[in-house]
Amino acid sequence: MESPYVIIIGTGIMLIMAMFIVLFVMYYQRKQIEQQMRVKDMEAEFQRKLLEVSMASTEAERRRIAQDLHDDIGALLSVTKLTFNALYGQLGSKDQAERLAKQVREALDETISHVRRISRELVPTTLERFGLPAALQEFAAKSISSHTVRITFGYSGDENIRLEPKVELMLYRVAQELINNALKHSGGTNVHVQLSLPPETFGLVVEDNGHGFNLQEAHTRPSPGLGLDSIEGRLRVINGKINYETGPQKGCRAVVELRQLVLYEKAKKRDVEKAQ
Amino acid sequence: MLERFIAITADFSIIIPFIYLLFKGKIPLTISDKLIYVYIVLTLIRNIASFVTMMLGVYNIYLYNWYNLLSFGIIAALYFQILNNLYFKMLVIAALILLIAIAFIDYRTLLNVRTTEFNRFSFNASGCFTILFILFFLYELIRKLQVKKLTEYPLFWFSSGALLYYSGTIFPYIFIQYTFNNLANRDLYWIIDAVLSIVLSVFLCFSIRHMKHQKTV
Repeated sequence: MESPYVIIIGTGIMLIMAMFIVLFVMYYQRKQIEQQMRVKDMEAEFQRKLLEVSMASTEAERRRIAQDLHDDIGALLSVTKLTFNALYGQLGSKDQAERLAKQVREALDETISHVRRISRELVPTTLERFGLPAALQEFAAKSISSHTVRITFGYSGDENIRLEPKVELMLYRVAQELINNALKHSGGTNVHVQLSLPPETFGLVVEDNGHGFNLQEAHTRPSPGLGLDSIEGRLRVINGKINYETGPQKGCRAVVELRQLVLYEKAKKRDVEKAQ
Repeated sequence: MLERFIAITADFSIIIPFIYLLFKGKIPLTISDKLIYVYIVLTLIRNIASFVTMMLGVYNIYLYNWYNLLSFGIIAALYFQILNNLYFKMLVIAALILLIAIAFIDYRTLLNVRTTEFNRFSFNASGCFTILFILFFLYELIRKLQVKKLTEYPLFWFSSGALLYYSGTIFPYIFIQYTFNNLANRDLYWIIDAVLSIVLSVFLCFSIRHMKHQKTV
């Protein structure tokens, strides 16, 4: 060995290589993780879009059926009723004919009111016309008439401020599902729906005094379950989230929140900008 | 004077990660964390023993020769349990057996407490094998991407420090007959080992800083 510099230079080269390897691993790993995150985000976004399209098509189908029921079958039934009324006027006073005619007229009235109800339930026209508080109030009132459970509804904030129609519809469906769950499964005697509207922060709370449930079990329960996946799916589409405060014999309090609140006017403006 | 200061600093630098670990209190250590801990304790024992024997004027080279074998055993166990590749595990076992065989070629340096020579082959072999294990481990890290933040992974810090130490010292060890086994040149090359020991201690501190339950690769 002639010169110690050979060893020192060799050591230096080895150290530089080692440092390069460590730095390369750190850099490469970070890049790979970032890419993995991007792919995951894209997948989540794709799933969200898919869910949105699927729900939009369901709503469109509901709207079409409601339209058909209202315009075709409803109109036909009304015409039939009018025709029958005209016929009834010419029946004379034979008792049996009169009794049968009365029965037919009652059946027609009932069918017409059923068609109207189904049509209204398929597309919440109150929601479209008057907004979320009015629609939820109407839904709660209707639910009281068909159940022995006491339902109360309250709201705070400005009822004239409207959210994006898509958001309002999703929130309405979520509230429907939560109220139905409370009525069908909670076993409680009271259900309270509370809505906080803008300009305060948005929040929807549905709570009952029933026997509650085990959240983990409810998520793994096979269909037909509590529709929790459907609720979460709808909320994912509108950037919302739900928290359940529940447990066996503790009742249930479901709190819905929106991560981002887009008011109707702003949404319209955004859509116009997008179109331009 | 400076060389002596660096050498003493290097000997006692291992106390810092040791004390740091004691200060961390009771944390649920994983197997790899425990092995790093054992490595630190073993290095500390070697450094204290060599310092005391040096002060007493007693031969202590055989301590380094045995330490090299034992520390390699700990490193082999560390990478053996952290990596799930069967071929790699076989390689680790083969490397360990081979190293013991290689070390005993120069058996006098291990059995004679008055030896003045470093084991001619085991330092090279253990350095090469350790670098190989570390490179394989780093490759698996970037291949499997199971660790989200490398800078918060204790084994990454340990591996980086060990890679720097063994890469830096392997060259002087290749020429061990000329560098460390030659008393005239020993001080010249000892400083490389000392500086890299300090660097390793710093990396060990970072490793301890992030010790908690971690997933294996």
